[in-house]
Amino acid sequence: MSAVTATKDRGWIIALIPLGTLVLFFVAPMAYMAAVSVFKNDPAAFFKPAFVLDNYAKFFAPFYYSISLRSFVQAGLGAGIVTLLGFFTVLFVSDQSRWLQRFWVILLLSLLCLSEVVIAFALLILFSQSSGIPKLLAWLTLWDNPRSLYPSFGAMMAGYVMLGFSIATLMLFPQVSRRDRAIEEAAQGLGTAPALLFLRVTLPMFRTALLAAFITLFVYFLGVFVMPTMLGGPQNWNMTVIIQDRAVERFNMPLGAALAMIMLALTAVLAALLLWLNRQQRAEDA
Amino acid sequence: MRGLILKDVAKSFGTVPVLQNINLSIQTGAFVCLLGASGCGKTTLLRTIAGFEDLAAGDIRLDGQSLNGVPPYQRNIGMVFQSLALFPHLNVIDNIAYGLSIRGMGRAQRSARAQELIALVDLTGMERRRVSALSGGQKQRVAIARALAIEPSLFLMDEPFSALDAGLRERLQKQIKQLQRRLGVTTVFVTHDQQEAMTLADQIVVMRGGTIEQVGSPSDIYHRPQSRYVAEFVGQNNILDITVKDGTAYWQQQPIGPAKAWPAQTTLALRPEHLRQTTNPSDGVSGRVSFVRQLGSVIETQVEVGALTLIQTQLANTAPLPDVGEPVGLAFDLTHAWELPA
Amino acid sequence: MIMIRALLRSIFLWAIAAFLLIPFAIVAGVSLNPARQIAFPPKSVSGAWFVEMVTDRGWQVAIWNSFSIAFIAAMLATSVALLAAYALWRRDTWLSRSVFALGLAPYMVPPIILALGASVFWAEVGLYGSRWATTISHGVLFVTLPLVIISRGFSVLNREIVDASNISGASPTQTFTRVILPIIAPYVVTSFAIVAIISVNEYLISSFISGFTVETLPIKIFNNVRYGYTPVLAAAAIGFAAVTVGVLVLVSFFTDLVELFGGSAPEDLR
Repeated sequence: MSAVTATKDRGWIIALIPLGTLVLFFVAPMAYMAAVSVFKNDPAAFFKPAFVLDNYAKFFAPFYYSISLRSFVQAGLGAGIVTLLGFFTVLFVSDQSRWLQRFWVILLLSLLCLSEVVIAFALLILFSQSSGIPKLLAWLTLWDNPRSLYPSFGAMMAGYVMLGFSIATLMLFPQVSRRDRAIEEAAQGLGTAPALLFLRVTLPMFRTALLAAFITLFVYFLGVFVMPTMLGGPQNWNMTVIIQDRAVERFNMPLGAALAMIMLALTAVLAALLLWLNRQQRAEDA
Repeated sequence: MRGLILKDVAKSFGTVPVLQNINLSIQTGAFVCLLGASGCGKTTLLRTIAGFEDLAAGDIRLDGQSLNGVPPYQRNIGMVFQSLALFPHLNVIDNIAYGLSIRGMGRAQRSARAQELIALVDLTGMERRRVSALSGGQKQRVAIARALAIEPSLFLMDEPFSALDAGLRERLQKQIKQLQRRLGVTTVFVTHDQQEAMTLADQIVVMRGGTIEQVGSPSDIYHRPQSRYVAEFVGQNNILDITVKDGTAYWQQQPIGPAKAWPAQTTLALRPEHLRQTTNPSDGVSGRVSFVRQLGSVIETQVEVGALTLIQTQLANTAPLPDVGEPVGLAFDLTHAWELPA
Repeated sequence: MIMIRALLRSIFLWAIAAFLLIPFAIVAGVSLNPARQIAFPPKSVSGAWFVEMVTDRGWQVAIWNSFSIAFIAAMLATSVALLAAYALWRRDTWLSRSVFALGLAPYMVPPIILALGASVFWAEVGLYGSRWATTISHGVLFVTLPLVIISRGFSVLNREIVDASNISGASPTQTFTRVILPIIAPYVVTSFAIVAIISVNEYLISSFISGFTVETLPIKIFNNVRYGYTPVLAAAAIGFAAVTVGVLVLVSFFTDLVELFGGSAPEDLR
């Protein structure tokens, strides 16, 4: 440990700038939103300062329960599909040549960075009557009366998968890529059947990582906005869309804020779970 | 008052004392080695002199100026680190000239001075090389050149050669000793290798547990150790607890030779080269060979006498010597025995 | 048997790649169709829609908005991340550790919550609807990835180099500018590029804070889908994707992305 000592070390001042910036523009907005969530709604202005728990009480209406349930199901389904597909993809890609790996990393990184809106648009076109799959099926005379495949649950889930795929793969990539292949080779050498090899040797190695990926994606899918809006209908909307709807479209900031706080609480619990898993993983590695 | 003077230097990490009662007076131009096992505080002391650690108590003076409160970048000290710490983004000549450029020296002057040092450490032709393209020995020399470029009042080296193979290490030891003689810069060199210390130092400072055990020339340390620890740390040694009766010294109740002016009970240190193998049992003690090895031109034999072990060395010659397990007699040349202070 | 398995693996990977790429291929086709409807495959190839995209005032403004916000936000995020990472590397204190943890937090929070919080905050401050509000929020809320990347860069930096610079006569500031910064530079540049890309592509936060006054590219695309569009939208989408991929390919020449994301090819492991 080196320190510029013998004189007073003023170095800690360096940390103050990021601290101030983050507190001012990240923590303060969150805190303010927490405050707003207990305010009264005011149609004239944004809201009226007060302390009422009405907004939170509203959450316990059947409508919001069903939305929450729908959000969980969609998020869980999406996370499950993406984790599974992503895992296999990374498993296979990590054994390819460096050149091919670079291709995949750039492809996945691009998808990760690419706007939800553009991805949704691309799928929209894919599912459209005029340019996409319906047209192809009609051309193949497999579908007499083609219609757009969106808005629909399926189209929206396709969007989820395309969005989350890059996250899952890039999360799993380091570990899967660096795995000790000697273990698999040894088992193979002993004559283990490939299916058994996968279930008993490969999969258990990544239990924790897969669980962590699943939870991360679950939280991520709870928070998607564009996919349900562009590719799904009102019957597919999740909690995030409802929050936006209440807060902006219906000018009820306090209600939106309260719903957001509830979502934040849930996210915090899942994040804590993730941190615990992370510690487990580190203990496993040691 | 020139040179490096440390007075009552003490330092703790939290509540744990790591340096105590450090008093040293180093002459200008001397080559001093801080020698000790890991954890004895030698590197901490070096870093304290450099200014990277602060003192709990005491004073450090360089050429009459106190260094207390002076940050490292104002101390005019050159240092070679254990990991060398060459700047990866600069080539060889820019590494060496770094200190000069910080001091605002002009480009032409910097270049000239750096070239001088490059010639001094035998790296001519390597000026534009990137650090990553250098061999271990070459990197060492760049680190040395970089430290000396600023013409420091003090030159510090923190176990720089410990990661090198024996051959390279010996070559560099020779080079650094010659370089130091030539430049006359006061040098403090930290090492755990007592052979290295014996080779390089004008003065050795043996350290243990954060304190100084002994300061002296290599010869002093070797022939006149002031404590059992020093006697055993530097080179092999036989520590003999003897009793004296009627002018004869007795070890393990056996007479081993005429006593010098020793009290009735004392402890001696006798180097292995002053033991002689003998077939005559009345010459000394008998024991059993437990270990034999040849180190260069010297053969070392370890002999078990009862529960204790004696070490004996002699020059290798053609005469056959007893093998492991065989009985052997050892005679003591007590004229070279050194009495350890109580 | 091994051949079949290898073949199945290849098929699987090709299928995934196809699923990921085909939609964009179709969009590209749509964007090249000179007719005014959305149709694939294109009857003929024309770059007219691309031309319209760069000449149309609305699109120009959207492009300028997106890129100017992204540039400044990236500067902000990278600077804040650099200071936080440097502070922690220099001295591991509770302060620097808290700052680091705080820097990781925005990434864990769902964007809707960040967007909502930011909009009530800016409304209170009086900058609701201003492009500067969006820029600052982007700059601060996207600090996590730069923080992680730059910290990675610091973790492979030998601390004794700072000591070496120090003892050579350089003050802490000089050490920072002449030694640390040049060595960390590749990580800083990569971070900048990544934040810029993320900012350009971001929809929710920018729409909440200033969506009605400052139309960025994603906002324009979203609004167009809602309210009616022509193939110029396809051109914009493809242009967008192309720029994103282009920047990443460029970054890949700087930094070994495979290594950065923790991979190692089988050849390396021998």
